[in-house]
Amino acid sequence: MKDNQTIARSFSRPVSGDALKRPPCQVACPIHTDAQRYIQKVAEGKPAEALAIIRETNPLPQSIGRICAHPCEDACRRGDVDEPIAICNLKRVASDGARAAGLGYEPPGTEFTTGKKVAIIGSGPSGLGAAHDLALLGVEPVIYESQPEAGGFLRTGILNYRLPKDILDEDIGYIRGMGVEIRTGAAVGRDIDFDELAAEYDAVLIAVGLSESRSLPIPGVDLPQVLLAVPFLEAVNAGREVPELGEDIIVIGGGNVAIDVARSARRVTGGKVTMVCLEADYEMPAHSWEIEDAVAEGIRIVCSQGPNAVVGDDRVEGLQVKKCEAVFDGQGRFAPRFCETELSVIPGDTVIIAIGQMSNLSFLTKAGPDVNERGILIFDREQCTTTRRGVFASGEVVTGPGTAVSALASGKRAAIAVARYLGVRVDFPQEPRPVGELPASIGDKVRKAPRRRTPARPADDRTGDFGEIELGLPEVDARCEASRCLLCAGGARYSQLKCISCLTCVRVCPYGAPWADGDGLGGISPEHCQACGICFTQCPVKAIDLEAVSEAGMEGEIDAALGEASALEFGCWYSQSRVEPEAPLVQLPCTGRLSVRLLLHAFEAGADKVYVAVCSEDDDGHFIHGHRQTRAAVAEAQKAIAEAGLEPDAIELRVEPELKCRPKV
Amino acid sequence: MSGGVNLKQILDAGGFAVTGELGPPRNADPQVIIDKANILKGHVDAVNITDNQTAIVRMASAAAAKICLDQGLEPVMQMTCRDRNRLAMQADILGAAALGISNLLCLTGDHQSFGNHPEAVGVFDLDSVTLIRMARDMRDGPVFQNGDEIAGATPQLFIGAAANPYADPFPYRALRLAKKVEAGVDFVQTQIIFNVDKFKEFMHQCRELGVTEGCRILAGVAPLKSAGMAKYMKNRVAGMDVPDAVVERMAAAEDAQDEGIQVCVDVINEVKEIEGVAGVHIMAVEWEAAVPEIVRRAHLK
Amino acid sequence: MITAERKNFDEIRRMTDAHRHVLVVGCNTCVAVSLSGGEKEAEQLAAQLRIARRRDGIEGSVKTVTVLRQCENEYLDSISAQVGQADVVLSTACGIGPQGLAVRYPGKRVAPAMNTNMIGYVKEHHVWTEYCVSCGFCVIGFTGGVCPVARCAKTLLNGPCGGSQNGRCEISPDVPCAWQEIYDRLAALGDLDTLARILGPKKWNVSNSGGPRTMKKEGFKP
Repeated sequence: MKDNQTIARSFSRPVSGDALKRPPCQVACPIHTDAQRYIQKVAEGKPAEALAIIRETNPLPQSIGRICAHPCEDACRRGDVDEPIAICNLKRVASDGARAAGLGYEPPGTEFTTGKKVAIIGSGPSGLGAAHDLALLGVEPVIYESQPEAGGFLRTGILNYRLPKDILDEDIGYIRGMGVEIRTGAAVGRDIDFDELAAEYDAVLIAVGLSESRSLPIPGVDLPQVLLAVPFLEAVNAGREVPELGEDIIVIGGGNVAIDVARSARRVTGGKVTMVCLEADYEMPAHSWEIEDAVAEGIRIVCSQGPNAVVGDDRVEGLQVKKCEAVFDGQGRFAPRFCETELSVIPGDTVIIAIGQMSNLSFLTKAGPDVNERGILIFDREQCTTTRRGVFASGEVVTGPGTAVSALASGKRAAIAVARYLGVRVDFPQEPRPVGELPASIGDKVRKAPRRRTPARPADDRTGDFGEIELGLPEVDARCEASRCLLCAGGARYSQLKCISCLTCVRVCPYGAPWADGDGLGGISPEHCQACGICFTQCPVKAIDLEAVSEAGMEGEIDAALGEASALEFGCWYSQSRVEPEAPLVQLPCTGRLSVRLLLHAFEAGADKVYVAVCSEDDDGHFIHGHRQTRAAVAEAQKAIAEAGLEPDAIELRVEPELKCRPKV
Repeated sequence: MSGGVNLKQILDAGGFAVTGELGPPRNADPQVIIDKANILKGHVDAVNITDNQTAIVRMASAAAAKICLDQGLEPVMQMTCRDRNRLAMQADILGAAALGISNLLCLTGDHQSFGNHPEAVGVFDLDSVTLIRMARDMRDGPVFQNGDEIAGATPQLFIGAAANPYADPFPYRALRLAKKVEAGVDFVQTQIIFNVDKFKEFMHQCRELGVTEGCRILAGVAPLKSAGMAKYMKNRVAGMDVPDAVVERMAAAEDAQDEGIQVCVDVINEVKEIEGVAGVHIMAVEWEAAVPEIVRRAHLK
Repeated sequence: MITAERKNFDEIRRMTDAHRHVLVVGCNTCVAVSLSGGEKEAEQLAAQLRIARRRDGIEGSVKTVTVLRQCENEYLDSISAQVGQADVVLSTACGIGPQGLAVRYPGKRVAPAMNTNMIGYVKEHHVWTEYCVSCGFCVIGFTGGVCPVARCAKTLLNGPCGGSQNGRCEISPDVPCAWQEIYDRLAALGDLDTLARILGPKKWNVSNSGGPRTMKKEGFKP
């Protein structure tokens, strides 16, 4: 029987529905990476721990940390205060920092306990993600890759300046290290028959992506200087010379691939590059930051123009375009409308078509699986199944064009689907619900702090080669950036059953998160809660704990940190200097989160000296009133230990000697 | 006989003391006291002046004691904790001492619900034990209860207390009396004794605890007026122990009053022989006339 | 709410040091609301005792358990296992706590960790003030919603004494004169004529002065 329990606990009642709410970044992430947790570890200066958290959901942490479209940042509630957290950059900081520390790159040992084998066709993010998760589930995956090297579009379509090959190699190496076999240069349909594959393996996963560029049905596309995006990028990525490439290049398309093509062409030729797209500038499907980077590199973008014909008799001399009046119809469907009379010619000696891709399913046989009238695999999104038993599909081949992380998510889901099919007892994860919008009253209270920019090579320097553009956030900047995180939904979790509606939390919360009416405490709004922990320290019946830092977790940390040492320092996650460098450190979001109980626990755990760090003499620490609470807790605990016969100054409050940032409050 | 010395002198000298009881009137007539005092005078060494006895309002005990003293009968002023806080009690002690009253019997007091003002607040700021200690400190400190020195004349008190061998829990009774001794009591008057055997056991315990060395114990006695009174006391009065034999004896008597006096005398004769009994306290309330006869028959004077 | 304050630590130790196994029992109702004896405080006290006893080489254990209300036998029943292992049970409830435990567990030593002080009104966070002394006969209907029994230092029923000055009681400038408040409220309500009536003397026999009280309710009994 546990020491601390109330009989109240012996009755169980459902907890508040709010408890299921998750941070919007995590919800927005297709693979639901717990960004908040790893950001916190980055803030603490523990990149290896951060990487471990990333790896819980992300089998390609380094690659995704560089190229992710980061929907998490679009959802980030810090954006309602000033700017979103640079989550993607912090992911890279985690993996770079862990590598520098020599940690976090040892793949976990896997055992294919099921005895089942799965063939995965394609080694792009979807195939790799599926293979990684299947390996963890005890199913042996074998990847078939038609290209000489693994990685799929990450290798062939994304250029070195965004994703260096050695980084991708490391991610793939990690997955190989888990026992995943990748057979490169092995094209299904050419080197191996699909039906044989299906017969040899317990299941097959088709994750071939969209490997073929679409062309345009316009006059002149047959000229030799008219190229397609995919082969062009493949050649550039492989370092091969691209035949017929001139010096005045027109790229057709407004998506991310078109941008990559344009920026690559700029690097290969050093010449003039013009992008032509149907969309108005604000409609372009490419990410805004990609467009900005392209423009910075001297690429001209011609918007609202549709290709009408490639001009030239033997050689390309330009592209005739017509005015595009609208790209989408009233329902938002792609249905471009042109002004056929408003024609002009953009001069150029090469045209590269980057208007989209399609899959190559030529390897399929009569035995199926079936495709629909548009040539697309018939597919069940929930179960990831095709029309042929034992054949599954994932990634862009079934989802259509998307981001790498979406393909990864699709592959991970397929892994579960396949594993379930093979008898592994595993459930599809529940979709988390996001915490609601940040109330304006809270946004106003949070101190503004600009997002830390990742240093990048200047445009005029970087277009001469394919070297990586972004250089990664320096550690201090990364920790400051991480400290901007609002810990959405990471705050108070209260037990309705234990709560006695004493109103203490209502009275002490600096953010007005707890609310009450005549019937008692109504709840603690996760939207308002900033996870400062003051309510936790004050609740007289322990009805409140913190999602991000539970009391039990803290006690465990104290025990673990203290070990055989006799002194302990409590510091802030975000502190960058120590008040007592010799003592082991236990970190919290702010020492305002420190309760008297935890301070006493340190002494019970064997400490004879406890240092408590605050980042300033102010009342506020990382949170409003944080230090006021720290001082109150220290004073109360000092009195308590003095009564118990210890010297009161066995608990010492000290101000951090060096502070680089203190953004929240 | 001079106030406050007679009782003390007798007890200090190891003599056998006799005290009586005098209830002040429920009016402002001094003559009642004068009359009663004159009945008792010469038959007892001192007389208790009750303090709102049984929580019924009567003339102040200090005033009645002064009237009694003026009649040449040494009073023992009773003081209960029910009606006064420590300020009033100290004031009354000083006042009484100034009037020449030195014998102070410290009592907790009957609960106000028994009396004629049941709605009154019960003060009980102190209890009998702390009252004894306060009185002792006023005399020996000399200090007030708060520790402040009493400058000038200090009250020369002879401090008494009550003890009831028949209340529960019996094993605690002698211990409780020992506490009173520790608090500074000089003499003790007990509850009315009819069950002599139990009193003997009580006295045995008192001797074991050294109580009899720390204070003088006067055994409480009273004359029964009738068999009805005997039954009433047996059945209705808390803390009374009237053996069936006594009730039967009263019922069998032709002259109940005479028999009552004789029962009382028999008890006196028995308790006189108990080691540590230093006197008797005769409680003949509203029957003061019986006292001279009891004293005579018991050969006390 | 009933308010209580934790006793001096040395006093608590004097009641517990002689005993090997101490069980601190918290109470999650009144004293939890008044932030003095709920689960948190009980655990804090237990931790303090453990630190102190370890320092002084006292062997044994100090454990803690909290019930919703120590004034109910059913709740006390639920901790019989923990109480059984203890040599002394230290209650952080109001004065009922140790007594309830003593009734429920006749063979067990009990001790109070608290001094119970009042039925308090929460003036502000961490500040309680005495508004009721459970006197058994409420007069607030005649005194403008202000209790002179609890809030007048002399429990006067018929207006302020001569010590009322500038709205303050003669005992301390920190104590408001209840009768000034009564007067002000009744004046504002236009009910000053209420004050002409002589109230009392008060029936103290329905208060604790009349002896320990028992309340019984008519109605269904299982």
